[in-house]
Amino acid sequence: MMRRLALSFVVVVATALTTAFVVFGATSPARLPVVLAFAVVVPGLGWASRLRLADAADTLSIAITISLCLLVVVGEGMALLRLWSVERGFLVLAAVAVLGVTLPRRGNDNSPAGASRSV
Amino acid sequence: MTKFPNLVSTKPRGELEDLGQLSSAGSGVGSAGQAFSTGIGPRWGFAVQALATVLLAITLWIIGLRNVDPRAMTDIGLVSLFTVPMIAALVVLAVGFFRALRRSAAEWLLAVHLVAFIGFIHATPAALFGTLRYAWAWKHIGIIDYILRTGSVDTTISNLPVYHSWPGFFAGTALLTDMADRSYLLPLATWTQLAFNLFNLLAARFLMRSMTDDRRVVWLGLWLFFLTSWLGLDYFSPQGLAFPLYLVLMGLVLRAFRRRRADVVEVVAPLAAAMRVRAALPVMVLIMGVIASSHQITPLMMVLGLLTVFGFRRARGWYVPVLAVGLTVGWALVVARGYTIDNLSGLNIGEPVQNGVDTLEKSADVRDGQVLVSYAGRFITAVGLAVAAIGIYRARRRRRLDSAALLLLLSPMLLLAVTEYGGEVLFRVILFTGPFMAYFAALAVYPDATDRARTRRVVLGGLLTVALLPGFLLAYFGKDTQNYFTPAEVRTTAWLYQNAEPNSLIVVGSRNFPQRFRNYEKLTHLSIANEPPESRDRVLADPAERLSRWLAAGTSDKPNYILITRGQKVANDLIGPMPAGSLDRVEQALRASPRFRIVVDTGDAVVFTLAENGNGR
Repeated sequence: MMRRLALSFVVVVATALTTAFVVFGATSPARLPVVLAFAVVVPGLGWASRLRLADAADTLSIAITISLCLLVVVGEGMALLRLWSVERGFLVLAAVAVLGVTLPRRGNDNSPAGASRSV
Repeated sequence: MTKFPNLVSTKPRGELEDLGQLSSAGSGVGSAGQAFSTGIGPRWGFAVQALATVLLAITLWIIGLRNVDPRAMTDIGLVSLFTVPMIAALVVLAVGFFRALRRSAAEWLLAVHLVAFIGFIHATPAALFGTLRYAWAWKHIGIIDYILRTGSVDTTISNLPVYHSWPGFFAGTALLTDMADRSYLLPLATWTQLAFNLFNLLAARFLMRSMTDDRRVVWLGLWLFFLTSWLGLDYFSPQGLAFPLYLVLMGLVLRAFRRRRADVVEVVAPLAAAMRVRAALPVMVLIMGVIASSHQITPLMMVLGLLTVFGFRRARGWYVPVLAVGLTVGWALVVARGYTIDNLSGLNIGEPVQNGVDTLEKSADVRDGQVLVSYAGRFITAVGLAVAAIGIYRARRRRRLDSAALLLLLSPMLLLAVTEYGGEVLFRVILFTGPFMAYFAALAVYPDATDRARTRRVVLGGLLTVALLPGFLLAYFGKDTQNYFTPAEVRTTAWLYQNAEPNSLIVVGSRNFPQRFRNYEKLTHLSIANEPPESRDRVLADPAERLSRWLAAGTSDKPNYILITRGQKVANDLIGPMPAGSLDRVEQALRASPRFRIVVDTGDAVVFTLAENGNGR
């Protein structure tokens, strides 16, 4: 429970900070590291934690994978549909990030017992 | 020594951990593969020593890099600038890594060693050069510049249409840059190689933990993976992103779809617990979609890998390869339809030998030290494959061969039967076999999970490192003489792209310069080196006369330009195709000719235009 709360806190704070930079145009030397950390890790963090992988580095791998894929999908969608807007793109990523930690979880998504049943 | 029960269990490891059967680190119970410290019982004395070793290596590397001037590189690239402290740093780091491996140190300690190694190899060019490395990376910047300027891609564009047809990497990077600040695009690109390799570390670990029950195999495999990744395809490119995604995808396949019948899967309890299909599948579909929309060759590799593993019934779930084929073909025929139809003839189906030879022939014209560099890469791959073959043999004898991993090692070779990919297909095959080759090579050293012969096995790993490291350094850094661009070259090219009128013709000595990174679609480039041989010969016979005609016949009534840079000369002198010194002679002829005037001259790059305004028309 504490771990989930901590995760939610990290996602919400990172999203809020990035919102300040991207949407409200705040300027600071912290802009690059904050935006980078957000874009590369945060959108996928909640979703990766739902997989309940036993290994933290595995969870980080999946979080980065999902985040980079979302970055590509959102950017590509806006470019192909000629709807480019950095604020819109960011808000989609932020929504996905926050949903990842706020949507209710369905039971034990990836319990080993469930996994051995599923294969 | 008590055998660890996990070795003969059919239950996934995570389940055993839940049951409390995992012994704590260093307890002396269990086989060596499982005896790694989990961090629960830290051996702080050893950890401090190991960290001190890494710090020493880093310090030596930094000391060795001081006062190194990249302009002084010879024809074997960055290796020619290696100093004694830098070599000492690599030795200290390697000794530290194998010492930690022998002591079954905590994984984070082994990771610290590997991260330091990745930093040495992949941060050094960015830090030392201060400019983006490799001409193709600059071209990729041009596509991102296009997206940021226009907010779109144009799949019907005539100039570099392939990037607009598979725009995933570019659009994603454009969004990231736009969020961070557009002025950060070049610094971000410069450090991307380091970031990609750190992601490769996580992704390859994710994959290898699905293939073995022995952590030593994972970490030696990772070490060997980075020691054999000499191709340099981890640069700022769609391939650089698609590759780690492919590794994660295959890791998910092995965790969630693997058949667990004992007669099919010999490694019965990999380190990573099995995943539920419903948990893994959405992530896999996301990855497959991104790979299918970001690159041309990786989707083919993905389809081949999945068809092989599922086709040979090492995994169940027929819909997974069907999804991959659907996404790949769907993208190629819907979004990238124009490019796909125009280039279907580029597929050389059924000519695997010729496709492989095409890659080797690409390096047939290299000169001087580049011959050595070319052979160093082949040597690394040959040694890696030979040791992997030993690993396969030893694992099979002990009934520990992961046949799914073996299929994934072999499946990229099928690509040879499909395409020559611009004479590069063999390089892509080597890239995608890399992690599996390294994994099997690690199995040659650790064929079983017992604790026997710890010192001998570590010595074997060390000898393998001694055999591979020099060749790796030569192969990986060997092309940096031409991949390095000075700040003056970048400034000159930037000036040209900023000031050239739309539709201007820009004649260049060769394509090896910071090319097309701004307003790329508005300018026409013509490379002397890439002209047909007879046309090149006419230019070299009388550069001023011939090039003044080119400029006069250019595509615009506005001034057209000739750009000769240091990097163009270096590349031509090392890898051709014109005789060494050709571009120096062209530059001298233009400087001496009254038909031309110099617009910009920064020492490392010079821009000429016709002396008369408006091309003399």
